[in-house]
Amino acid sequence: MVIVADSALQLDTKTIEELNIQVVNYPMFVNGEPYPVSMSMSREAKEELRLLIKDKKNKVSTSGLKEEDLRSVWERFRGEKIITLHQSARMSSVTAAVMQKVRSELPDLDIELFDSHHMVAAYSVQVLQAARALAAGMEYPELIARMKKNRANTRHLGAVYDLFFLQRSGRIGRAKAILGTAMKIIPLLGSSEEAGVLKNIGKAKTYQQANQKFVATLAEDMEKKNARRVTALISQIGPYDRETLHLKELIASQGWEAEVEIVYTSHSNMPHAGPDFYDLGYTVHED
Amino acid sequence: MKIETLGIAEMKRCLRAALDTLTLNAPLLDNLNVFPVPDGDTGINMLSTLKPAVEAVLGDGVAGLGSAWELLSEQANRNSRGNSGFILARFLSGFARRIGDCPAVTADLLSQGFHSGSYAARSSLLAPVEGTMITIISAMAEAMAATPSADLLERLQAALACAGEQLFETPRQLPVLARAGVVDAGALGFILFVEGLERGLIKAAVRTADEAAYRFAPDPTAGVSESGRDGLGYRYCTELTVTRRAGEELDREALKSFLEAKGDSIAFVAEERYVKLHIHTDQPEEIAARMAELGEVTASKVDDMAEQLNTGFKDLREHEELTVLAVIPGPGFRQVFADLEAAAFLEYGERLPSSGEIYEVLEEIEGENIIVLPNDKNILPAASLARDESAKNVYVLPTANVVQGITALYGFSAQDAPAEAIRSMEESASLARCLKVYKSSREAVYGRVRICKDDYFMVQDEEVLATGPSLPESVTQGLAALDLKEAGCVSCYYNGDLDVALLPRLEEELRGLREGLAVEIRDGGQKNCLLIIAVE
Repeated sequence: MVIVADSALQLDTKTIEELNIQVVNYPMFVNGEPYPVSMSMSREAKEELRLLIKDKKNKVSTSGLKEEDLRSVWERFRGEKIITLHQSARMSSVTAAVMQKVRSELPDLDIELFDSHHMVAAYSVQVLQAARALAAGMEYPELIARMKKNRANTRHLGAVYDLFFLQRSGRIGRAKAILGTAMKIIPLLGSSEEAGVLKNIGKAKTYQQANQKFVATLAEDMEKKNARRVTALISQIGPYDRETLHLKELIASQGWEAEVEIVYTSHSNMPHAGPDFYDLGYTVHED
Repeated sequence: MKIETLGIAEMKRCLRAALDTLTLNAPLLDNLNVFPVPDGDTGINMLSTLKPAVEAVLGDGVAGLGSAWELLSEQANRNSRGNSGFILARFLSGFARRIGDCPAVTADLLSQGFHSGSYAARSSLLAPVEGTMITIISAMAEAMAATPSADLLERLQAALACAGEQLFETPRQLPVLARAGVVDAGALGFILFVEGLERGLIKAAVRTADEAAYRFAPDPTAGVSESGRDGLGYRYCTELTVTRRAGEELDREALKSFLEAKGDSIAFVAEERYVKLHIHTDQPEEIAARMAELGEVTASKVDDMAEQLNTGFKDLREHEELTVLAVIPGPGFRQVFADLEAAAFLEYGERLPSSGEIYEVLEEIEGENIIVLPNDKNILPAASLARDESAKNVYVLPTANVVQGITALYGFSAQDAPAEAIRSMEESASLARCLKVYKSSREAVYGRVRICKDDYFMVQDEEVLATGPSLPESVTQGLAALDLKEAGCVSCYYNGDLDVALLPRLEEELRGLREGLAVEIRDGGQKNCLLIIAVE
């Protein structure tokens, strides 16, 4: 059995290798030309890409997963159960269509398509837990049940300093875009009841306020589920090390059994979420 | 001189004298004002409330006593400003209600009117604080009731004598007054209002009070004020009207003891035929049972105040978007609130907005679901009156200052369901601290701190954090007294009277407080203080 993910995954290469997660890359284009990307890009290389994106004159985009890339990865695991776990299908209808098409063309492969209903850190935290469970020897029926339960208990929160990019790609729902206001306000977004759609959950002037809001939301979720344990992933792009460390420490100070990791975002998320954000994906555990 | 009744001509004369008395003494009241906020506007607020009301009554065409009191009450409520104006307006409402359309005010009716006014004022406050105007009004009502054989003039004079004594008890009841060495300005204002009525009644000249008579040595050791109490210690706002059994005596003291043991915010009127009670309690059933011993309970209302806070809209229309009306102290705040999705504004300068002005803006707004941010403790009463007046679904979020208003909007999204938006805004309102910087126009004692003339002083709630001749130093000293470990940004909003040449140094000093602290300096355009500072 193997877990296949895509390059929206926010895990470092060491973790990906250790957990044997197979990653299919989203191709990237800058002003219509292919741009070299990989999961093993250094932070410096990502920073170069970030600056390209920050210049709004440049049109930086991804396309859906390529058929041949997907086919190539899946075919390597012929004879095994393939759990292919991706961002919310709503994020890329092309990718969803490609996956359906390739699966129908490879009827002899045992493929389970699993929609995480989330993106970025909230997608990644689900992949991380599924891969760990598999590595620990969990069998298929139990693993799928666990993945479904985790998905239901996962939330996505983010401080997106410039909503231009999410708005351009239609990834925010009815949230009002706050662009270049006099107040230098940080818009806060969160997952909504609609899978794959972000909504405005508030604003903050400082990262401390943003993190307080995130932790208050997490605390509410913990209370609702009567949970004591949480698995969380924080991802960032841009100079937000101080902000993400503060968030990690704030979660750690709540007295829960909390596992929190900080990662620098993978290239695939940059064109959509923009060059300035950090986000938190977490799963609360009822056990 | 015996005066048994008061007709329309006497009433107009009395009101003119009361207005003249308040006009003469408004500056004195402003100087004494330290509670609930030391903003020196008690006199102007009472005057702004009373003046249009009295002028309306003195105008042509007001011939009947009942219609005159009704007009007085209506205009006072419409123009009420600040806490003192609000309480005065509510008193006049209660008084007018008792007078009804009686052709003349007798001594008994005057006494009953004071009781009714006292009840109306007290029951309209979420957390009435003793040692203020409401204490004086109650004392006057009691003094009148205690002199049943006296004529109308004697009752007024008895009330004034009692209130004069009670006034000097206010610093004992309210330690912030003792620390400042003053009596309560609102309480004195009400006494001067009644004194004016009395002067008009006997056709005597009105007088200017001597400010020194109401000042005494400050007591820096006086206890901490209870003004921060949120009034929500008890859950149920309970109102009962009982028709009394004929011929049965009422043991007022026993009833009072019982009620005081069961709750607070107690307002009580006992007439010959009925008893009316307002109380905040956790045991509404016990209260109802006790009151039923007095006769038949003919009206009762029990409101869950916690529930009201959560869903304060009258008739929520979930499908409609929310509109936020921000009451702002200067033009510089308009863009700030607009950036945060406020869609309607009421800007004021030196004078606080009246309930009528707030009402007019509410009516101009296209939407039906409106959240009002009063952004000042003193505007909250006027905003509440405007809400009650409006047919729209208005929720007043009690933001005590403009910084709370700004941060409340961090939790707002026009697309949210109203209850969710309010809950989120209430949570966000406390995300920042608000500090204010003033320049002292005279030597003064503020709390436990002596402030020299022309010195700057920085205040957080009722506490002076720093004072001195240099603005940048006073501000940085004040901020240094706070725990800034979790602070990420200091925003200063200055007014037009501030020497802008001081701003670069102020900004530099603030940045030096802590590495990484963001500093913003903006022109707020407010009139009432030099700087409003948000620490977030």
